[in-house]
Amino acid sequence: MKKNIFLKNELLRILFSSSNHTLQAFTLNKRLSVAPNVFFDVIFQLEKEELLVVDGVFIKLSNLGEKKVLLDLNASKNSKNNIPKKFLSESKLKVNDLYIPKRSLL
Amino acid sequence: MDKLTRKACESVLHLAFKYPWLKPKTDALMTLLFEDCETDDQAQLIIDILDQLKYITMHEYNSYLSDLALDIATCGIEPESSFIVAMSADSKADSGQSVLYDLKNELSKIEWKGYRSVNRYDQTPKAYKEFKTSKGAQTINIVLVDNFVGSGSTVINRVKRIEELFNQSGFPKPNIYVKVLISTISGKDNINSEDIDFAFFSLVNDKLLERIYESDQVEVKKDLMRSLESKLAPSYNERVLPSLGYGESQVAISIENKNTPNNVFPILWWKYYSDQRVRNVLLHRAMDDA
Repeated sequence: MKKNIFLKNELLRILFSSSNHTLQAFTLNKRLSVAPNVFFDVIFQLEKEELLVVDGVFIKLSNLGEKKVLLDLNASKNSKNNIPKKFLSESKLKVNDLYIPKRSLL
Repeated sequence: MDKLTRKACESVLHLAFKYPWLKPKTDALMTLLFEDCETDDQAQLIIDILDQLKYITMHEYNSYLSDLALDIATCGIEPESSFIVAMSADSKADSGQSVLYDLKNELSKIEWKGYRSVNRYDQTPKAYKEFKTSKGAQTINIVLVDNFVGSGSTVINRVKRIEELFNQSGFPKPNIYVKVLISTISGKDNINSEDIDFAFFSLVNDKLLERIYESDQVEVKKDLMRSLESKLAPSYNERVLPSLGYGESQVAISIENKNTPNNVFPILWWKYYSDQRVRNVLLHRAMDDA
């Protein structure tokens, strides 16, 4: 299921970055490069979730899909370099305290 | 199938949107259209058949069942003198018994009670014998049930056989009603011509190729279908592949989560290729009673 979520996001991202947020099904399949049955499953699921619209041979990102991609983009930007406060320690290490060494410095 | 051509991709997408029941079956659909079919003519023939295929969802099936229950309750027979009998001929799992079991609940919903159920048609005389000792000899009503009628010959034989069995035992001739969920047009006509009280709740086309194509094209299309069937195993466990469906019925129907009838084109459900490889089939049927 997790793999599916990754594929879904990837598919939406590809659509988002193409002109008019639209691609032909065949092109989209080539860019996503997964087995055809997986590709169709993902398309049908996303269509059911109203994140994309299938119009003949064209697959188009819906407004909802657009929003989702933008939200995901923002979410990933924030999380990369931002260490939540609760993981930062205020006190410095004292001599002989236990600590987890940084692997690259060993 | 690992590589998808542009044409294949577009036609699968088109078909799946036209017929939503195909959506979870794109894999089998692609195998059928682009591996089993070698020419465009063959693929078009399959697409024409899929276009006519009647897909019955669980929801529709259940509504036919409640129609059937209502019909039994309102056709003027008394439950105390009625036997609801599965069309099944032996004790193996069978559609007739499935309908009989489903009816149990439907009939109780509408408070139609006191009837007896028999899960093998040939056990009816025995059931009547027990009935006679407690209730005394009288004319009984027999309601034969099943979910699908193909050619109708089974129904006709069952009715004759029951009459024969009752006659042999010297029991009074029962009133026999046949009620099924789904019938083909020819099945209905054949049964009606035998003067049997017959009710059904959904009708499907049979002899499909004759119905879709112009008369001069029919033989061409049948040969095309036979050429497709030549790739399949000609028999399985000594049962011969029913070319164009049992008795050449040429039916296209599928009932969600139920066994596909053998009157359906075998190209849609026959599970083995001629080299005994297992096929990825669009519709499913237990091959033991192929």
